[in-house]
Amino acid sequence: MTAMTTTAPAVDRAARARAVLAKVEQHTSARTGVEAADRLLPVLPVVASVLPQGGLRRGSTLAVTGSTSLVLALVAQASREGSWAAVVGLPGVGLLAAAQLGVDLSRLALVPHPGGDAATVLGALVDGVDIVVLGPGLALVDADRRRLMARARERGTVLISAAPWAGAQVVLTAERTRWTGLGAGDGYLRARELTVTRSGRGDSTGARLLVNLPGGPVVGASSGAADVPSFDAPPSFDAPPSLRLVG
Amino acid sequence: MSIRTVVLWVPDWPVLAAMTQEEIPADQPVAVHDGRALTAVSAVARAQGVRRGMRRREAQRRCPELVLLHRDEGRDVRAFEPVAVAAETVVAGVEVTRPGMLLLPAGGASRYHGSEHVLAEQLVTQVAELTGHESQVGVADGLLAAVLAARASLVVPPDASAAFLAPRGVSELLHAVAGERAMAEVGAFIDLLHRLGLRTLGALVALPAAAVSARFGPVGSWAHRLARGEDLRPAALRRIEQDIEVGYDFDEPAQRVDEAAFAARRIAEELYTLLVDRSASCGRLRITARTEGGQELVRTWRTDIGALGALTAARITDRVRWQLEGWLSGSAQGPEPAPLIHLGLCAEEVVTAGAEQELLWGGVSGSDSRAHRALLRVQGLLGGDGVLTAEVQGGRAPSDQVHLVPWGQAVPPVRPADRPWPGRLPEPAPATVLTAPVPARVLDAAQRAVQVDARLALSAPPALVAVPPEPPTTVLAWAGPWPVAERWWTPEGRRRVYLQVALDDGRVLLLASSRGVWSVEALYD
Repeated sequence: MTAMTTTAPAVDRAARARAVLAKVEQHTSARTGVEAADRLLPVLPVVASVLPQGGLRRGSTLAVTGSTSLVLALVAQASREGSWAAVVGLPGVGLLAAAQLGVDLSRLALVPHPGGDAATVLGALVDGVDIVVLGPGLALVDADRRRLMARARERGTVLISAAPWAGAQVVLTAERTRWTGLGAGDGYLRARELTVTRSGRGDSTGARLLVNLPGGPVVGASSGAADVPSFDAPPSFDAPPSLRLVG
Repeated sequence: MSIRTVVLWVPDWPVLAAMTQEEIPADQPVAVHDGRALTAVSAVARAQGVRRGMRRREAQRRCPELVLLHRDEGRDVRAFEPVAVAAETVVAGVEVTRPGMLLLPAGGASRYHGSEHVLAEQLVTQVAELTGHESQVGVADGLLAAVLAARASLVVPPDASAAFLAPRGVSELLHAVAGERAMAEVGAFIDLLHRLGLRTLGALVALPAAAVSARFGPVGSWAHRLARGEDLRPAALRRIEQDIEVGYDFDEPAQRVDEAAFAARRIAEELYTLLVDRSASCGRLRITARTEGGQELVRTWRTDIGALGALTAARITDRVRWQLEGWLSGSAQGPEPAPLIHLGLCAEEVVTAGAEQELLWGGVSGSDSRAHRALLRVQGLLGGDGVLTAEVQGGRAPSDQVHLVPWGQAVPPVRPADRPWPGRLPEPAPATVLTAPVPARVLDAAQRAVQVDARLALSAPPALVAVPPEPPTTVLAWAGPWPVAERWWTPEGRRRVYLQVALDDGRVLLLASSRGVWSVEALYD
């Protein structure tokens, strides 16, 4: 009797220790394997499915169009785990939305208007920052873009372009966003479901995937967060609050 | 064990810094305040009875022509840098303890200059000549004695610090403190000592150290140590690492890569030796080449661990040779190939070796410092306002809830974020906030403009939204109106009504109406 009660937690602890060790090995690329060798930057679980390797591969270039939220969601987890990110040429990026998605603003730098020096500025950032988000309308010629990609590959920096980018390894296109929570004069925007098409070099499948971005803080939130009525919700007396699909 | 210490003190530094920046003549009485009370007072004002800690009104009563300036710690630090640089023309390294005061070990410097008196004279002269500020120098064993000696412009003989300190009051401990919180803590401690009847430093030292530590905790041991005339730690001297530059002039212009590479090897080895001699490593390597035509080719490479691994002579040579191959062979976008007459290497961002090293499990330490350097470099290219950092603050509109400051500046948020902020827009926040709102038209089913009346009711449900160049789009769903009347008691008061609308083409907008005019404030994309 006593033996059983003592061994069961022991097994449990051993399993837990092994899991932790495996996580550390994976995280630090001590174990050989596709993922580990490629040195992935972590992403939020809700967006892991849209990336071919379930994370941002260091040195790769992504083009994400159609949704700024998706760009911010891709950056969030890595930023929270200590990576630095810079947003260049996106003066209108919603920083409050970024913070709500889990981006650590203390490790986020903004260069809203790089002007004519965009290539030099980006070169300097690629040297020092882990993730560089590029806005549309940067003064870059194709040669600059190629050089930047090569430099990012060498330095292990992830480039995420919010505009089409020739030669990107992963191209994510948010085709439509389905918001829930908005009614005819009642409710408010709560959660959204993005339909994302993935393409890019070496991936001609054109996979179509669904991403659910909850409205509340992603940190530790369950997928049911959208169903919890919020204190801020304007009351609607004529009809019980109902969630309707919109868009 | 205490170290012979020199302290250079510029009296009333916050006032002097403020006067320098505001260009106020020296005969004007000036005081600096933090909104509640005066924090520093100029000598002229003090002569008229104005004292530190006085209320503003009281100070103005005593001296009506007193100029009051706001406290700005950033200004104090910035303005003190020239003083530190002036002191560094006399001695090799200094530690800035707080703006207005710097310290250095006396030993080597006084031997070099002859005596402590000569050293003190040199420091005061150089600071006065280069910056125009009057300063005082004190020399003694230990930090506290040296600080108090500086306030009296004294040289306390060796081993006399304990005797020098003993008759002084315990409140003198405050002069050795930097920082507001420490100041308050030490202030409370001194108050306690007074109430216990320990009025002099000598009386404090007479108690056994263990008993003081047991009764008063860390602040007690700290005070006891200082009062004994001892040091807490050796001075943390700042060292300025200069760029290291080496060069080679070709006797005959080099046309082939191997000729140039031969010279590159020589200067690479020279640079490597110089770096090793200084036990330093560098963050960037700048390669310069001058061609026969007078053209200057410059290329900078990052050389920290992440890029190159350890920097060795062979690696520097390789780097230079690749670069030369590019320049001499000529490529599509590269410069016109031409013979070289000069080749130079410069190690920039020189740091002491060991500041960065590889982690046990992969990755490089110092990623924060690398990011800081990169951002500083971008700031150098674009100006201070070119790189921003954000913080969440209180507010209701999405743009109000973000506090943007230039990178590296510490400006506290205007509004605290931990208040309820009733009427704040619900989460999630829009992912795109337009820098300038775009005017829009909101129409009802009968194509009439939708208005919000004084009772905050919409004239009709919105059916169409037009953002001018585009044709009107059907509204599929909407929520609102959410009125927000902000700061109406100030000139920048705003009254707005918000509306969330989902349009037929898939866009979701945040619309705001102010004085009957609708505009798009943000996009939920």
